[in-house]
Amino acid sequence: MRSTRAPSTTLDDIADAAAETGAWLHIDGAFGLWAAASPALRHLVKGAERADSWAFDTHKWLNVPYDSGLGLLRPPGLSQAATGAMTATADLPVQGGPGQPRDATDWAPTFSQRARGFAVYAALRSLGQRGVADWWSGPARTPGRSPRAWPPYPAASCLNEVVINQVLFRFTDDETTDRVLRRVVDSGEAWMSGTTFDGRRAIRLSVSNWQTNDADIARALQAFRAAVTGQVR
Amino acid sequence: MTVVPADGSARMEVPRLREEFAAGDAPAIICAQAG
Repeated sequence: MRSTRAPSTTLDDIADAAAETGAWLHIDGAFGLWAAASPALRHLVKGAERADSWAFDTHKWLNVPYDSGLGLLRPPGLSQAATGAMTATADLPVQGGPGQPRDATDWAPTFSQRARGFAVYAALRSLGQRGVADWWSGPARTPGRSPRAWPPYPAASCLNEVVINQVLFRFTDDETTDRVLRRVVDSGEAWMSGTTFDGRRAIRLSVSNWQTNDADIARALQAFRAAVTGQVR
Repeated sequence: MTVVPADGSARMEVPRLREEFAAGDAPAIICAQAG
């Protein structure tokens, strides 16, 4: 399921199938699970609350440093098992052990790391649920507020229904798609990545910076129009 | 690992998921992407 479109297959459907067989349901909610904070958009992830575990990124919606993420487990007992799987021990450090105050070393897969959790906590503390929700209906939704703007040129085709922050589109052939993308990126007007979808090249525009606004989107669209015009002239 | 077929928008096809369950009896973990 993609977060960019009102789903026909819902997470409720998947949760039903998992419940029927006793399967463990894990949701990789990189972008999408944050929609649950928004009353206007949480229907897109309805059913996610029935999962057994979740993983989602914080370096996207919360705009904290890259590679920050969260993992949650529903069964409390398994959290202890996960702790055992991630901890590392040696003679040098002094660790608390069972029954002692929480030791961060036991809860992260890397022994030596910077304090990612601090930035995540600070972002959540300052934004609160309302702040995260506002973010969803504000900058992050700039493509979704003007879905008719996509694709950025008549010769392109949009591959998803633009609802929130992501647009997937391509031009008539792979060579053109890659060439147009390269021109836009080289122009310095906007940056986005290429990808492969259904065996063909595509362009994935994903708005995730809190400062992006409608003017920025218009500027990106103009960059595409200029790139295409320059190519086909 | 089995990749469950998806529709044109990359949404998991739940009937095919159920087919996968019916085809095997091992414990299963479903990983569903939501974003």
